[in-house]
Amino acid sequence: MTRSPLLALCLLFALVSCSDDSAPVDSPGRQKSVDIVVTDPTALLILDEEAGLDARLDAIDGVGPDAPHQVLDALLRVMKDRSQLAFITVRDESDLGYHVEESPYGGVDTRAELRWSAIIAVEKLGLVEALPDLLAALHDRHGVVRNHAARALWKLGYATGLPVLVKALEARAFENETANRILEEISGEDLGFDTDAGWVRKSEAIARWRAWIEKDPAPPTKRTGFGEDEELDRRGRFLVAMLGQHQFLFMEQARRTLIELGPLGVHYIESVLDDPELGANTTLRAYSVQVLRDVANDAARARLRRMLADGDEDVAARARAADALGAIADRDAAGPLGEALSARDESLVIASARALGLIAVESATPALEGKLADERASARLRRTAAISLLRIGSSAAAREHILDRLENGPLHERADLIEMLEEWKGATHGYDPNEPGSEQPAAISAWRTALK
Amino acid sequence: MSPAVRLALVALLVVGSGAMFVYISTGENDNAVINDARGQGAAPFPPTNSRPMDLVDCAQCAECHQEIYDEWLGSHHAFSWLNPEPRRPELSNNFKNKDCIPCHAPRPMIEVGYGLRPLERETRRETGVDCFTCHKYKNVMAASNRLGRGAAAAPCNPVEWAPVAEIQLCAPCHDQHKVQQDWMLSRFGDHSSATFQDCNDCHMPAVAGPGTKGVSRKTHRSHAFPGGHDATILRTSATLRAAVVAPGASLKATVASLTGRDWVPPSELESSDARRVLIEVKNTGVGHNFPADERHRAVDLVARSGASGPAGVRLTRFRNPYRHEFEMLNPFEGRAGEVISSEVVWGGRTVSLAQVRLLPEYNPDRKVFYPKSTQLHAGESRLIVFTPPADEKIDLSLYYKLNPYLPDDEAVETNTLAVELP
Repeated sequence: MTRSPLLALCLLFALVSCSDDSAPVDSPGRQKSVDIVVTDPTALLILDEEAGLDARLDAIDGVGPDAPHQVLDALLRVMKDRSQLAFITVRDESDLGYHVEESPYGGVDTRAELRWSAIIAVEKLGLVEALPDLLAALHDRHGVVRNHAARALWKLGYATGLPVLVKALEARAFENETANRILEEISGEDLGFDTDAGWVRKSEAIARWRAWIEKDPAPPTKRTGFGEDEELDRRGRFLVAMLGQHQFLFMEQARRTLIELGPLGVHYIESVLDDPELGANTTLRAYSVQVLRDVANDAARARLRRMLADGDEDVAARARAADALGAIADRDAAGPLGEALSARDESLVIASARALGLIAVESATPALEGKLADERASARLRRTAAISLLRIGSSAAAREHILDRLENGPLHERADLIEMLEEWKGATHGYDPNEPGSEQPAAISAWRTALK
Repeated sequence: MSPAVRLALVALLVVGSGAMFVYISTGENDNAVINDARGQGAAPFPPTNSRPMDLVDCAQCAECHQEIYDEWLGSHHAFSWLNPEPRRPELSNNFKNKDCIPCHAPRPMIEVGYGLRPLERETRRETGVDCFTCHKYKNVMAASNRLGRGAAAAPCNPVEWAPVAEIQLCAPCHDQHKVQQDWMLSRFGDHSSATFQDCNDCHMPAVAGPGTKGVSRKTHRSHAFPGGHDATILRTSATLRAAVVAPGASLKATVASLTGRDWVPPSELESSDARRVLIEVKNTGVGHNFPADERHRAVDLVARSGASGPAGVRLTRFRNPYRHEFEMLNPFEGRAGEVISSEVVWGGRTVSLAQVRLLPEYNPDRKVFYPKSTQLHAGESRLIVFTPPADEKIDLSLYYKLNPYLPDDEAVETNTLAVELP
């Protein structure tokens, strides 16, 4: 009995130490990542880089619907290549279910057959959770891998890969043959593409396939929606959590895939933003805005407007929301953007001023004129207000302000201003920010005319 | 053992266990802090008060912190927005690639949150990574030092907050390519080691002068942030050594003599009838990978002789490839201690090189974040053995390049060594 407190303490030590051993390297989750040890013999064979190709391909071909998750994970892993993703997601036992690692699959490509075989297996199994991986595989360096990813996506209800298939018709033999075969299979039509034909005939057939795509063909299978596949949802939420990672490459890859997921990606973002803990991450909120902007469906627009109107201290996300609403010219945002002009944070005010100009909100003119005339405001706010006023309509004061700053502004102001003007007008009119404005009368004169 | 002593021992054990529990659960796990997307584990925010803080420009800080301001003004932090290098078309394209802006003109990091990816600001971009980036939090400026007597009336409304000197402040921009996580796995990142040094020890060294008006300190931390743009600190990064292996001599013995490492060469390499040159490039001065940080960096080992001409021959390159260079091979990947063969053309002759990666003696099995990288980890060596093409002196140069396309004459020559062939 006298030893039991000691034993209890030892157990406590062991428990605490074990739970801490799993130092999280790249998991944004609440818990630390604990690697899953692969024990399934089929999974081990599929992943075994030293095993013969035929044995691995046979193992992949033999994967059936009852395969354990370790085997499905192995399929998802061998689908990867550094040409698609510099980093890969790896399942673990953390709360978000994954962490990321640098892709080990680079160098001379000797694995293309494995990749497309894994994709065919995934398609055969109807593995919905592979959706993010299949979208990534559309960027694979090998054309046949891209073609099979496009077909698997079609089978899952996504037409995203059709342009990839038509593009592949212009490629070399084998790649164009598989693309044509897949297009014929999914459309049920033969549009006359022949890999051995001359270029004129091939071009005509390619044009016919393009015309077919423009009819917006719908896949026979209904897309999996939010809440219909637990694993897919878990992966989607993990991607959103990765938007808050400080490492750019992680964030960028997650962002690209979420954009490609489209409305489903918006659902994942909404789900995470509504999570009191995960959604409190300022960076995650700010980078989610970019996905919402690029998808820009009704749900994304509504969420952006809510984020802009959000009165909390998360001004960075609000500023990005203002920018995004301007970029997608969301006229329903005019009200909250006008209100944001009186915010305390100048970045938010500048972003709102810019957005009001992009949307051309006439009612914002008096407020923008006030910003332009405010000599205590930052130079960037004043020039942003000036350009927005000119985008909305004519404004002599705005025009004179811009011309004055082009002529008399310091280097950094000239550089920023000409960048803004070039973005708007698509021209510099020969203005070089590295030279003093006073020495460029011809360029100033050209801008005087251009801004009339 | 008396009951009192037994009770005291149990009490000691319980207190000790509790302390250990707290240590393990909450402390010293920098990985957790740096990688947690929500900044979990990061220090709490600095205290604020009701005093207004009206600073709008870093130049205002110079009134009390002239020395520090001048140091910062000459640093690449101050130059991060206006620097033409990242503005090049193939990089940020004049920041038209807006993803570059958050690190080149960041909002105050304390406000964004430690460990989180930075967010861009719209104003004062021309001052790059400025005073506000690291010190501002709402209406206060956080300082890691004890405040001086005049602080109460200072217009910057300073508050004491030690975490402003912590690495989590630097990580969001500088750990983009794991430089800080590499450091954690090196002997410099071992808190329990006498060799522990953090970012500030090398990149914010103590320099003479109080740094702040009215303060009696003898030194302050430099805000010049010497690093990859500083030739002096670059020249302390690596050690370049060489030895001539006489015909018939043991390569193993020469390696041991030159490097102090016990490496057993394969039998076909152990001895040779020809005279050979053994070179070691070792990361001895950097607490993280060399070269570090952005993937634009490269370090080249170049040999010059009469046969090679002035351009020389590049023997090897240390670099983390760009992500789109997925076709690049790292022949050393997972093959520490093995001989990797390659060839160079030197004075019209093909010269075979045998290269070996010797893992660091400290934590040799550390996690490799970038298996495709040929960077030198802290403490790692690369050995190169070859038979020189002619009987003439060989001049070795190690070049640090800000981007992999830079010619040698625009790079920093960090090490030179003349190898006389007897």
